[in-house]
This record gives sequence, structure tokens and C-alpha cells, in this order.
Amino acid sequence: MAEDTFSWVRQRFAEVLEMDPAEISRESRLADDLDADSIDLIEVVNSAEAALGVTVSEEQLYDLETVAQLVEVLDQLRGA
Amino acid sequence: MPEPVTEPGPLAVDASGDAALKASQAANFDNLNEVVADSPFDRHLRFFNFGYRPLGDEEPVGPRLGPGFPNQDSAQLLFQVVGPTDLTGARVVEVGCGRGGNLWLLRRYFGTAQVVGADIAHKSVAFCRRSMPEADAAFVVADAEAVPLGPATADAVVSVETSCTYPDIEAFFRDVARMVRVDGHFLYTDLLLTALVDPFVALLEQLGFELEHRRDITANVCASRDARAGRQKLAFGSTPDTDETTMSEFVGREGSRLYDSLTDGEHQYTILRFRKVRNVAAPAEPILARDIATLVRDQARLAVELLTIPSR
Repeated sequence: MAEDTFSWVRQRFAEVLEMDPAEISRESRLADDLDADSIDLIEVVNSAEAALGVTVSEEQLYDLETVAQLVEVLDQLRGA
Repeated sequence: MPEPVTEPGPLAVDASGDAALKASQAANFDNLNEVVADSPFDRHLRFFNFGYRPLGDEEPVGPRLGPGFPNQDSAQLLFQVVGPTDLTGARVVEVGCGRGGNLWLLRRYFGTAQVVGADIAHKSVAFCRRSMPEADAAFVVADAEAVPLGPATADAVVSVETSCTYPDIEAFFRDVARMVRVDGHFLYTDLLLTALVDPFVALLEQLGFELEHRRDITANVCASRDARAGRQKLAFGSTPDTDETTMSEFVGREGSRLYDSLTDGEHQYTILRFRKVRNVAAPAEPILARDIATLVRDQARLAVELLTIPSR
């Protein structure tokens, strides 16, 4: 898992969810730990797509449970 | 099944009576598609319904969806409507499919052989075709009271929160009875004037259906609106002041006319699950009593009026 992708995702989640980035780990569960809903997640993914030049499919997005899974998807799409 | 065209156009309707109401309804939802198209959530917004939220210790039913799935409550509404119905290998037709969320779910999780969506709003149909280009999914611009599919061609017809805008509900029910094969299902839910629920059940029984399941889910639907309406409104982006009331109706916010009509008992959100047990040669004359048919038209007019976006 590329560290820069994780850092980017953590920072973006922190902004969207108005949290301290230190509260967000790779293992954080999107719903149970971060209280993120689909609107939050789509905001993060939309900005990731714009920043990284990738497209996350609906199937990939809808199955995500943790921050690490999103980082993995983004890294796969970037060919990291 | 007609060959779908790539870019559907508006349905041609004359401009009087029921046809005018249908034209307004089509225009409303075409406008809503334009509103959504300007938001960052466009490609993920597949549902225009109030949803279902389990209450207390009640467990959700159906497939488990990740937190990134938009409109979890809308998915749960579909799963509640389908219940134990086996749709493996089925050809499922959804009348009033909107932006295709229900068929997307059925295709992915229920092992359907083919899904067919019909909707009066051509921009919704265009979205469905773009977002579900697979060979086992087809979408057509159609009037819900005359869907261009042959008799007994559906293993199940699905209808979720759309029939309350149909001025001639008996024509719709007759068309459903025509499309569903014997032993097939009609999976139906809507926000209806409470006084209409019993007459609708009786009518469908006369058309050859047997009621398998009936449940008042008003409390679950209100719970969904309480939890999600404010957030969902964000997905529509910024709204001109003139459209605030309409958008509140669309998302069913507390204080909206539709929300209040659920809490005061005027309307009831009901699941009705039917199995077709026999083919019936429907009489030429209407089955519904005239006063009930009038109530249906009043309900449709109110729903269409509430959902008209003033700025468009």
C-alpha cells in the first residue's frame, strides 16, 4: 500500500468528516469507526478521481468497508 | 420487446386530462435528472424514493451492502418488497424504474436472467441505458398504463413508489396482470391514500392475483426520512429558493406535505406482494368504483403538483 495514497486519503477524509487526521487509520471502518455515509465517501472518491486521474467503478466503491480497501483500489488503478 | 434506441426522446402525449398529467410527471422527472446532472453525485444517484429503515431490534433483510452504497434505505425498501420471492433466472420488469437502482440491485444480487425497466421520463431512461449497458438489461420510455411488452412475458413486475402519480391506476393494474405469467409475482409498494389500499387489493384479486403479503411500513419510511432527508438533499446540490419547497417534497423532509400526510394517517406506505394464480378476462367496464377512481386521480394530481420544480 503506497504511503502517499494513504496520507492523501486520510487527509481528504479528515476534511470531509471534519476530524483530526490522527483519528483515521488504515484499519478504520468507514461506517462503524468514522461514521461516514455514502455521500461522504463519494465526495472523497470524486476528489481522488480528479486528483489521481483514475475512475473508481460503482462496484468497487459500493463494496468498500475500510480506509485500507479504498487505498488499495486507488493504488491498483494507478498501477502502483 | 422493442429494440431500444440509443438516445430516447420524450413520449408523445396529447395535452388534455390524464395525458397532460402524465406529460407533467415526465417533465418533472426529466427536470430532476437535469438538477442531478449538475451535482457531483450524478452517476451514483439511482433512486428517487423515501426508503425503509429497520426499527428497534429489527434486522435488515437481503444482501449486505457496503457503506459506500448510496441510498441504503432505498435498497432496503426493495429487499423488503421482494422478501422471500425467488428471482433466480427471472425476467423482471420494473414499471416506473426511474434511474434504475432497483434493477441494478436485482441484477447484481438476485440472479435475474433479464431486467427490463420502463419509465415515462426519457432522461431517466437515458441514464439507465448509460449506466447499465449490459445485454441482460433493457430500458424503454413508456406510459405505465401501457407498457410495450407482450402478455405473460414477465416472471415478476416490480413497482416502487411510483403508482401514486398514475391517474388511471386500474389501467396500470390491468397491464401488470397482462404482463405477469401465471405463478409470477407483482412486487408492489407505494405511498397511497389509506382509503385506497383495500380497494386496490380487491381489484388486483379480481385481476387474478393472490395477496401473499401485506404490511404497513409507514413508520419505517418515516424513520428513513427522519434519518436521511437532510443529507440526501445535499446530493441535489444548491437549490434556487423557488425550488426549496419542491425539493423538500422530493426528499420527504419533515414538514413537507407528503411527509406530514404519512404521519397524520391520510396516506399509508404499504407493501403488497402478490402471486398471479390465474388468467382473467378482464371486463370491458371499469372494476373500480367511480368514487375510488376519482380519489386516485386526485391523489395523482396532488403528487405531480407537489413535485413540480418551479424554476424549470
